[in-house]
Amino acid sequence: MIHVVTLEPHEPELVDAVRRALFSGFGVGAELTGQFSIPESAIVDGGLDAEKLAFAAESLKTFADDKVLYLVKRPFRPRASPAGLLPTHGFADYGKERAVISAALVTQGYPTIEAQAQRLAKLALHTVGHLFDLHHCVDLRCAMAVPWGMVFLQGQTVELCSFCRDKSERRMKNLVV
Amino acid sequence: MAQQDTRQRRLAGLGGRLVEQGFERPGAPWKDEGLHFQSVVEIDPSFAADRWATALVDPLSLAMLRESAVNLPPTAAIRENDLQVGQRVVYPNQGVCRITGVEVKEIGGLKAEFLTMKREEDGATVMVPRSKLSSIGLRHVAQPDEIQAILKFLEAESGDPELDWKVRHRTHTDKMTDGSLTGTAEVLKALHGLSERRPLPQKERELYDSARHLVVNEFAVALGVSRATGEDTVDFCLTPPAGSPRAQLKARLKAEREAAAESALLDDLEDLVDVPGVAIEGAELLEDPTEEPPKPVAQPPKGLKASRDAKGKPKPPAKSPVPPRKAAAKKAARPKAAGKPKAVAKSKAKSKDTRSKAAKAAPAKRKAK
Repeated sequence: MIHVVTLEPHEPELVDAVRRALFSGFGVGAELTGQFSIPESAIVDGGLDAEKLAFAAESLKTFADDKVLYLVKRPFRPRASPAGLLPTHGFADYGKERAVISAALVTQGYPTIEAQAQRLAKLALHTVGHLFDLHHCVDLRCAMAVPWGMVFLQGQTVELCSFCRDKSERRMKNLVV
Repeated sequence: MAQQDTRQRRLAGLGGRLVEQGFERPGAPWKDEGLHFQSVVEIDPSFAADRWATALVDPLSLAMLRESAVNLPPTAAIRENDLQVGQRVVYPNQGVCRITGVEVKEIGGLKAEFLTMKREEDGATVMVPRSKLSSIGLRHVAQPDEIQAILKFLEAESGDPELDWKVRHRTHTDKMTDGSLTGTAEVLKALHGLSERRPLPQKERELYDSARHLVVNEFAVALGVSRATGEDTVDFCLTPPAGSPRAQLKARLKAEREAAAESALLDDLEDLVDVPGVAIEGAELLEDPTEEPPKPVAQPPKGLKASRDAKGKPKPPAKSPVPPRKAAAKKAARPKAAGKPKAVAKSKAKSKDTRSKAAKAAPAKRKAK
């Protein structure tokens, strides 16, 4: 089960698109569980820190193999790394329970709600994929491709490639066993 | 110690392989470590001394090391005395593990000491006989300076990938078994470069995923960041965001490389066109379009038979409906003719001619009888 939790008010079309994409991508139920607020501890130097938000957000009562996806609208501050400042669309605790995504970067420049919903759904699929231990994919049409690529933002498909789907299914079976 | 052993093993294999490939040196066997290194230095003096063995495996590695000649530091191998409970080590092909202790087990009546470790990502237990610690390739987690060198290597322009899958597979498997972070990063970059040109086969896709998994995990542990940040750091170097200066630089390098390759190809084609007796379909495209086509020279009739019909009247000269240049273009445009090699088409035409000549000659023979 994948729980979708909004930390800021979202249009119902966006949340619906995210739920549908998660259900079709992983074959497990995805539902809007509730709306919480952004914790103060996740705000660093006036910007929202994705990693801190993922761990500081209010928790849900879940089963062992449940996943929680938090949605926000404001942009995350870029993360520092030895390679430079990384553009941050979201954060996932690999192989664990919690992930968070922001609609800010993927929906800007797309005026229609349908286009915004499609991109947000793709990002949700990507980030939850990391919770199932999926890495970035070399197939540019796959939702697990690098999220800052032009093909990721402009591509029309919201689905996983066969390799990523197989891997996520294997991972889910192992979890259940 | 483990690196020395791996080097010796590679040497033994490489010597034979190089001789097979024709890289034999009379009086200077390839087994000699000094000569190996010397020969690589002749090709590119900027190689780090400890990287020569990989460089000799295939030209792909050679090209890759040329880019990574930033002296990739060797990963520190583990000595038995260094080991402590709770210490993090890297086990080849398994990833980062934490030492949990030493156990004595009896197997087949023999008692042996085993070093037990827990894999960090999933808690799986790994047991290594203490006597094999030096040869198994166990090593320390990479240091930040090594991570920096590998990031530089990842962001450098990748060379042409090895197209022979057997060579590629052997090289990549060797590197993964070796277990060094440098080798794993080389596999990751080579397969990433290959995937930009064509889809990866299933086996190589799995190998790519495995290499990425190991690199990301070790980056995360070495830098003290989450795995998500580790993976984004790797991808920030491999595929920089569109529009960033890093991406522009990469695109410029790629365009330069493609332009150089194209000009080399054109040079080759032009050389081929210059060779007499070699015909290349579409070679007329290389000709200067501003030049006027040569005027057709009227050929005098060679013999009476050819110029007269059956009644003995002179034949009018055969008129071609289209000029010869256009006819050639039409012929090239036909799908079947374009696909056939020239030699086959010529031989078929020849056989047609001989058949028609024989048919013409048959009634004349009968009349003569």
